[in-house]
Amino acid sequence: MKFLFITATMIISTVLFNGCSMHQNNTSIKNISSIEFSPITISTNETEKKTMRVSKKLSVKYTDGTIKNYKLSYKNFLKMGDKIGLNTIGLMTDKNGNSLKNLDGSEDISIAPDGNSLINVAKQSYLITHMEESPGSIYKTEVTVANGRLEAINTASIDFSAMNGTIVNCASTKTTYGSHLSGEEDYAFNSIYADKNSPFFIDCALDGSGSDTQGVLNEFCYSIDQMSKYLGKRDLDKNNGYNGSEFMLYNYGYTIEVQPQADGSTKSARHYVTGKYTPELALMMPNQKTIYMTDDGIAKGLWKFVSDDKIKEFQAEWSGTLYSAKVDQVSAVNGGSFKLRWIKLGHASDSEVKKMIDAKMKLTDIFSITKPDDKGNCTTGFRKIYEDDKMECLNLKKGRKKEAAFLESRKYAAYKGATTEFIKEEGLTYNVDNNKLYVAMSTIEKSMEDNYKGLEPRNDIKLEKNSCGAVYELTLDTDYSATKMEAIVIGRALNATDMYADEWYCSPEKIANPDNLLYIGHNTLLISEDTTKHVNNMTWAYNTKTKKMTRIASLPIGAEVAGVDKGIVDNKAFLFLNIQHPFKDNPEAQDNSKPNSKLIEDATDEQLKAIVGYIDGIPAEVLQ
Amino acid sequence: MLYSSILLIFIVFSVSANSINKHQYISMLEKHNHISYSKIVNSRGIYTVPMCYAKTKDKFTHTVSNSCYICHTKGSRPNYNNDASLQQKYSFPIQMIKNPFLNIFKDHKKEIKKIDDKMILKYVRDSNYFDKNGSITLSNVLPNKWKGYVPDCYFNFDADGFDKTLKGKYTLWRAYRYYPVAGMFWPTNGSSDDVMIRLSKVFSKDYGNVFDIDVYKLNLAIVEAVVKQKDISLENPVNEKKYGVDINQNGILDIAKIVKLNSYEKMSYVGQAKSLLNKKMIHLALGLFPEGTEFLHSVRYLDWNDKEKHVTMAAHMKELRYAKKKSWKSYSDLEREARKELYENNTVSIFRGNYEEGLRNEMGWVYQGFIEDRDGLLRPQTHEETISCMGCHSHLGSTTDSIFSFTRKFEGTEKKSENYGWNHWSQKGLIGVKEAKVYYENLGTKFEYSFYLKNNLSSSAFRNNTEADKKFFTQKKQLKRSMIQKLHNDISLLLLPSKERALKLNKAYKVLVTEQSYIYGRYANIETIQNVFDNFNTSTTTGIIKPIIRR
Repeated sequence: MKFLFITATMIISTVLFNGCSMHQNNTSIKNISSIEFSPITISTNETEKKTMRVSKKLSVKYTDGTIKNYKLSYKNFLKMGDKIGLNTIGLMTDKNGNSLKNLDGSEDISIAPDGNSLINVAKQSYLITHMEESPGSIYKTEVTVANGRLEAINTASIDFSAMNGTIVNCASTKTTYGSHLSGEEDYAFNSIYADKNSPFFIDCALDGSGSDTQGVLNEFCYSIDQMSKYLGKRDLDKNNGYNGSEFMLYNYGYTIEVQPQADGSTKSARHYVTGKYTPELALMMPNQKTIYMTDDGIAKGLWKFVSDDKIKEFQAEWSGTLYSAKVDQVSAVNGGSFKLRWIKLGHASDSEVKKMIDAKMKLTDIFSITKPDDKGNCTTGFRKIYEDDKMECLNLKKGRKKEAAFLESRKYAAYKGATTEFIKEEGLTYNVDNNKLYVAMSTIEKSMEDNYKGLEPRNDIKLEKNSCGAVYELTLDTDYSATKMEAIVIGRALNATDMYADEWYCSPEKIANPDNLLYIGHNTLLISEDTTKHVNNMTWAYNTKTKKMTRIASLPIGAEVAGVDKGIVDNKAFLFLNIQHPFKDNPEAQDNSKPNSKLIEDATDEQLKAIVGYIDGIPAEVLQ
Repeated sequence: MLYSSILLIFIVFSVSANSINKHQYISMLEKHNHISYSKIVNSRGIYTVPMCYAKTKDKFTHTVSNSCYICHTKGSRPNYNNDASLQQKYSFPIQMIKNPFLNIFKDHKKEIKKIDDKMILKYVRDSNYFDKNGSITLSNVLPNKWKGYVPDCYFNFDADGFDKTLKGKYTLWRAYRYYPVAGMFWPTNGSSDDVMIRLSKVFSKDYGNVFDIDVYKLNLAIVEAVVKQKDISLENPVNEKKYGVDINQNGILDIAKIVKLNSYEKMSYVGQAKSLLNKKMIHLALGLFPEGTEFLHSVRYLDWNDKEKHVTMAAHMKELRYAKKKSWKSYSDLEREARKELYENNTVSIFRGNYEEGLRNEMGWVYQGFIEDRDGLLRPQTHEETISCMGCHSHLGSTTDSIFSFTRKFEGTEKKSENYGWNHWSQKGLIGVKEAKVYYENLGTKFEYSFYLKNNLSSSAFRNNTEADKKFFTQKKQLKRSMIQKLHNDISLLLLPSKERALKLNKAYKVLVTEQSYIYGRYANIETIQNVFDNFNTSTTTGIIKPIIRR
């Protein structure tokens, strides 16, 4: 004991002496009892609004009662278009890995870095970074620590040609065994638009312009054109659900797994068994069997996959059962609380689902579909469902349950009575200290309001509108199955006479439109925003025990917080936090005016660049 | 008072370069005109134009008019904007649902009556661009450290349309004739205008870095072929050996009579610009102007030529508009910018910049302008007034590198021909100009203006130009075939108003000048406009089922 104490004291003095130098000695680890970020102020002047500000200090309290303070700062790590080693990060490529050059010879560089995972394999460390694009793209950047800073050695886009590419890679998590899970947040490829027998069919020109045959730009046609560009083929059959020799609409909108290997190569797989919808991300539970997925957009579901066996390492083939949540509202107060049940949709393996896709199926092979009549009713034999902000009348075809479960997960979930009334489900994170799961609901409105549009067939969720959003806590049973859902942190829209109402729509003392969530241990849940309702998007540290909220980052105006992840390289900790689209969004005040337009107007081209960066100075022991 | 006397001092004594500072100058203008240079007084959303609020469904005839396609269409690469859906629905951000252009709801008949014909004719014939000594008033008045454009065009054009200073030096501005954009830019609907182009200086230098007007001329023809993405005939044959560029793309250096379109890699500028292109210091891409290109566009009152009995361009400017391509944007940059519209919520657009240096669009251009002060002298536009430039010069599918007129430039190479391209309107006017033909997707090739009349069922977006409508439509709103036949041979029949209408339009606009109320709309309406929404709900549709797509 005495010896240990002396060692610890020595280490503390060393740290203090070094002016909070970063290198921690593993042998010295003492138990941490709590951590506390110093709060940053609400931006008031132009400089504060325009700059990236993070907590200046992290106080770490140890079980022996000692407190150490660590100096924090934000470090820009890289930006899209940087040449790293032989390649350019963010460069969009086709199926063969060639730069997607335009007709003027220009290269296409992504401006939308999103999910990050810092992954250690053998002695190497990699930063996996998403491009939220159509086609999608994920870069793997080898990193190292030099002179106390993270440095990129080389980068390359991960080859997804074997799975015919990926799309809109949004948020990410790491599995328990250290691989990367990516959500293919695809909004466009709802099969109702692709099937000629569907009343929602869109007739695309397929000329690469993203337009329909009338010449009108359309998101569905644009996404189809972009994927064709990636695949280098335009042989799509409009009479058969736009299926082509390589493009199949049912191939996109799942969870992608990426695992860097010790030999420098990368393994990847698309896990079809997690279901097709608009996955923001997927999160594996410690039992290595249960995985939760969120679904972004209006009128969406909440998803759970339970693997047949433990998944202990990367494997291309998963098999298990897919479930969709059904909520019973208990209370409508403060963001509401719900009982949760799970409706079983089906059991399959990845290869089984892949086979169905390769058979070039389309919606009406699975469901008959019509639109509700003027009164909102469906003809006999059809069930009315609400998904993706559309009312549809569906009739499941015989023998198509499995296809429905995995290729039309949201439709089938709604068809079977699950709740598809969530809106803009975003981040997911797990609290290992109390076995809770957290889900960010960007906003509470529309499909989460009481009988939105007066047409909701189920109306499971009946909440009051709160356009500032909420973070929900899900209580898990011993099987990691969620049984209860309750709002724990909610935003508040300001009233006209409130303080701050002249510049802020949502109270700056509370969250607005939460997005990325990351539980970093020590009862600390990081909540990051993607909002136009705060002057600056912020990251908050929420103490899950004391309920205390601390502002720890305030981004340049107009930027969204993205790619929040923690990782350790060379015993040095990094808390990643991307500055996405700075000076682009124009924040609104309580009266919907935009009092900071001038700042947005004054932005220079340099200020408009997206940054991948990290909070520096957190000791490794805190993020371990 | 203070303002006038200071200005007088400038003019009378020709004070060398403008001794008051910017702050004094701007605050003087603010006081004198009761305007604000930095504040948004009406709306940040006035980048739209009043025509965007036009009612397309006719209350009485139940017909549907489409003038929307003139601006809102599928762009041609590298204009990746496709706003054709705006032909179908009034898609405004919530803040713009109420029509901010209050001026169009005003009846100006009373004020118009107070202005007599002689007075307005004198007004429009007085130049507000030049002072009595022939020097450019604004260049004397603008403060010393003015960061924006300082007018430097002398409107003194030689036979080739090149502008020269009073001492005969080339300013590099070159005027051209073009088909005015259908509807809004027809003099019969309010104003006359002209456009000049200027390439950056390097385009006028030979390989030895020496000025050569032939090099400049040839570069302008190359830029025309590149931007229009078509072959362009040269006025005089060019010896390719002199320039070392295969201009006619026939594989050998010989005598070229045309600039032949080819891929961007096969084409080149000539002279110093070629050297810079090879060093990748400037760019060449089809459909895009090289960096440094400038445009000058004066919008003017309507004058009456007593001798020839038709409307002409007045000396007095309503506005002087200026654009410069400040930075290069590749196809990839442009495509990304355009596609962002798919995902961005319907919010009021933001244009970066300020009134002095201009506002930037996503294509690398800066737009800036001067407009009449209450006394009719040109002053810089305020920030809010400058926003008015940006709707038309940013996200539209109808422009080429955000410019309207250049792809509409006449291509005639014979100086005597009605369609000779390189002249100012004052050298050769609209009379006798034949109608252009345009290809529309799924519809084929059509006479452009006749097609507009047919689809819009009127000669103006608001369907309030009774004079032209009477000329071209029967009482039952049928197009008069005989008039359409005549129109094919002479567009001035449609484009030029009568003297009476011209003077009324001048007066109607003069009312806005006195009011300095441009931020509430600059449209010269004689009376209250009827076919327009003052407010509407977001589900209102235009009734246009099939959008018209120009190729």
